[in-house]
Amino acid sequence: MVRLSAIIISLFLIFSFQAQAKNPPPGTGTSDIPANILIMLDNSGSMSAKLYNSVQVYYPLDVATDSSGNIYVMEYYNNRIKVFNSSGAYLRSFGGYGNACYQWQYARQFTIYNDVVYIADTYGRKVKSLTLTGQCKDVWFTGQYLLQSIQRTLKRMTIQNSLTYWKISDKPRSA
Amino acid sequence: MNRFILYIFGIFLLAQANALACNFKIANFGSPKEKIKIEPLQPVVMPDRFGGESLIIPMEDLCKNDKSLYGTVAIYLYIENKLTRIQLYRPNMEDSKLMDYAMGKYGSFNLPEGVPKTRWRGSYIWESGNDIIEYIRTDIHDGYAEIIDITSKLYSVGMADYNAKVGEWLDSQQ
Repeated sequence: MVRLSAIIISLFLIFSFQAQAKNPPPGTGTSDIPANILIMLDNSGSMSAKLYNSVQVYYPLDVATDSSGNIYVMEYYNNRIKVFNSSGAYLRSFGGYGNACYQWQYARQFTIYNDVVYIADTYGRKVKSLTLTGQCKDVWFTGQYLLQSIQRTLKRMTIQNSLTYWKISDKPRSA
Repeated sequence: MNRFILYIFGIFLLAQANALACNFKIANFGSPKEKIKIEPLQPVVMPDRFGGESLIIPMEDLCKNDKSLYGTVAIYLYIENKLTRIQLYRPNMEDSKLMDYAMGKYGSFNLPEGVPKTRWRGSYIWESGNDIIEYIRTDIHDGYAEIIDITSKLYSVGMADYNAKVGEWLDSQQ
């Protein structure tokens, strides 16, 4: 009963917050990233900018930013992530095709949370967490193709931690 | 009699190898993209600014019985919803599997003496019926790639227009 009340109050607070939220006018607004940039994208191309150093991005499928405002772009069939600073200058790339912890097989989505890169390894059927420089942190097996959003996957992992997913360092309890 | 049995066995083995061989040509040139049906994952579809649309399918989905080309994607380029180019793309792998595949299927070619396959950069072209096949080994940003391009003479005009648009855009980016 107490838990139900807590859920109802939480939902009420969430909906109240969303009802008051307004879209910021162009050029203003706040970010949930403690960085000095706010990226606003539209499809008109009016805010586009070229990358420096003639670095091209091949078939980008997903993009994210870290707490410093660096931009991470996932190249689909190169199986790697390219990192640019907030001015568009190329910094580094990491990843590659394979089964190793720091590699993946045709991932379609990734996210950055608390400066940890989480990759939905589609064909590897794993979720992998890496540092911002591409060093291995953890691997979770999923036993299925990862197609849903990586954010939803991470949420499910939190809820069903030892049931559906298990860390590579843990003994599997169930598939 | 023993020789006859050996022949039969040999033919059987060849037939098995062919059955297991990877067939990435799953649609004919000129056919629409709706002809391609891949399970269980839908291919990634990427339109571009030059009027083309690419369907990208990893070999893991195309050749489940032949793992030799895993790490390669097949990119089916559609122009005006007609299949115009099939490209096999294998980036940053420390081998020459696409070169070996191309040589095995279309005929071998000579490399400069003393240069290992993995360090060679260049291209070679074959013709097979209406198809033009080009093998390319090239450097890309922060790596290298093996590519097999297959185009059809029947759709060369559309391909040339497309390549001209890509070229113009690349020049404008300098």
